Amino acid sequence: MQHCDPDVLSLLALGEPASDADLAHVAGCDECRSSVASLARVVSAVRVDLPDGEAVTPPARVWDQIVAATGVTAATAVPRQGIPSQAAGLSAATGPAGNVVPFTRRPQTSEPVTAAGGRVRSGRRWTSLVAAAALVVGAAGGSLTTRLVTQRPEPSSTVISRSQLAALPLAPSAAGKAVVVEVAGGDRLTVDVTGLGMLRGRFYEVWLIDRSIKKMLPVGILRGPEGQFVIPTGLDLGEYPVVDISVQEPGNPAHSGKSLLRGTLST
Amino acid sequence: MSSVAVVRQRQTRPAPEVTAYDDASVVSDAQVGALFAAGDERALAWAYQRWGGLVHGLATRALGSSHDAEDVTQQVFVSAWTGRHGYRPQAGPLPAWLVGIARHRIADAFARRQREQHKVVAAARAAHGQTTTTSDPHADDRVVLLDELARIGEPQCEVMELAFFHDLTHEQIAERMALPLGTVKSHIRRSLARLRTRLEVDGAAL
Repeated sequence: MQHCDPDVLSLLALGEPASDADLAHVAGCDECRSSVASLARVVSAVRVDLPDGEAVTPPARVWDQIVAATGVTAATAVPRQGIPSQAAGLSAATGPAGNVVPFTRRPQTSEPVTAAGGRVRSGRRWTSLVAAAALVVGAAGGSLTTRLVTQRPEPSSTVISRSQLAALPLAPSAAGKAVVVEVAGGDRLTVDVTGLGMLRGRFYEVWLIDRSIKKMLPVGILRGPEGQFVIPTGLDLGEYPVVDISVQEPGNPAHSGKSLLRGTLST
Repeated sequence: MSSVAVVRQRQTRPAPEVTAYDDASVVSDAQVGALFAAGDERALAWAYQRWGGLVHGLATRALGSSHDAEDVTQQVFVSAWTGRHGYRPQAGPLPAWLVGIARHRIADAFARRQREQHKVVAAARAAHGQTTTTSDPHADDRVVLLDELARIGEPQCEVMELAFFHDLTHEQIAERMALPLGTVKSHIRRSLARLRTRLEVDGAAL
């Protein structure tokens, strides 16, 4: 009987695929099977299976030690908190499109969904990298262009309406609330969510929608567990009372149809 | 302008405008990777900022919230930085490369712990005749194998590093290292055989 090429047995032990003929031979050949098993013992002892999970912010001293060990100077002031800014929150997500991990309230870095995955081959699983630049290609809009507002509502703000946001089937564990406050510069919508993860290559968009769910107005991209948005001047919230959060693909400005959370504002 | 008109106008726009950035946030992950490979110090900070939590999450889940986990996180970024010539941006994203390094460092940390445990067990035996057991069936094998792996010369060592910890196929390794496929397969076969031999010879000695 012709045995398998030893190269093939080594690759099998590493978890690589083999031809049907090789697999059939190994299945029926004690010598080849035993060889694969002894090599696989090597592989499984060297490789450590790491469970996926959330990012954990390292203590500040870790960065200090890195600075000390590398001698970098230009960078020392930057990552004190170990945290992405608003835009980095989405752009830094590192898994294939569609995989999510929870946003967290604390400073954190990018999402680890597949990074620690078992024997899925990283060379393939990372190929879906989408440049964050896709998200920052903004078009200059008209006077009603919405803007992301970074400040909290001023203390003098008045809540004019609010809504709980209920999870839709695409995101059964999500929850949230929406509050509209009136401030000197106009109305602002604050959205607060839990149970949504970071995305790569896609993003969350907040919409105001009419009761018949036909007219949809995008008010901005949700970059973290909380977002605040300017409501366009002159917009009648009575006509657009539904707050909706969707997952969107870059380049398609229309609602994707993939809504995750929704609620109807009431005063 | 009516609300309906607003909707039409908005829906034809290519993307929502975004205005709030700081310097780091407009740099894409791919740019961070390219700058990192080029030795731009800011990229080390940005990489840590974006993926320090990813690496530390892996380390703390594997090793507990501990000094060991902090050590691993630090080692990953330090060795990524000092070994940045080995990172090829066109071959894959920087976080994937960092995770590969983290896997090796975490395996090393497990092996260190196992050696420590053997010392403790030996001391306990000497003092009280007590023994403890480990729950990881590979723990002793790992001590031997990582030691042997560290002795394998280049380029075999890099080949095995990519195969074990970066989960690359032999085709991907050949492409990344610009080596013929047959050469990579041969390195893998010989290195695995060498590791297996070391295990057979020394495995029982621990």
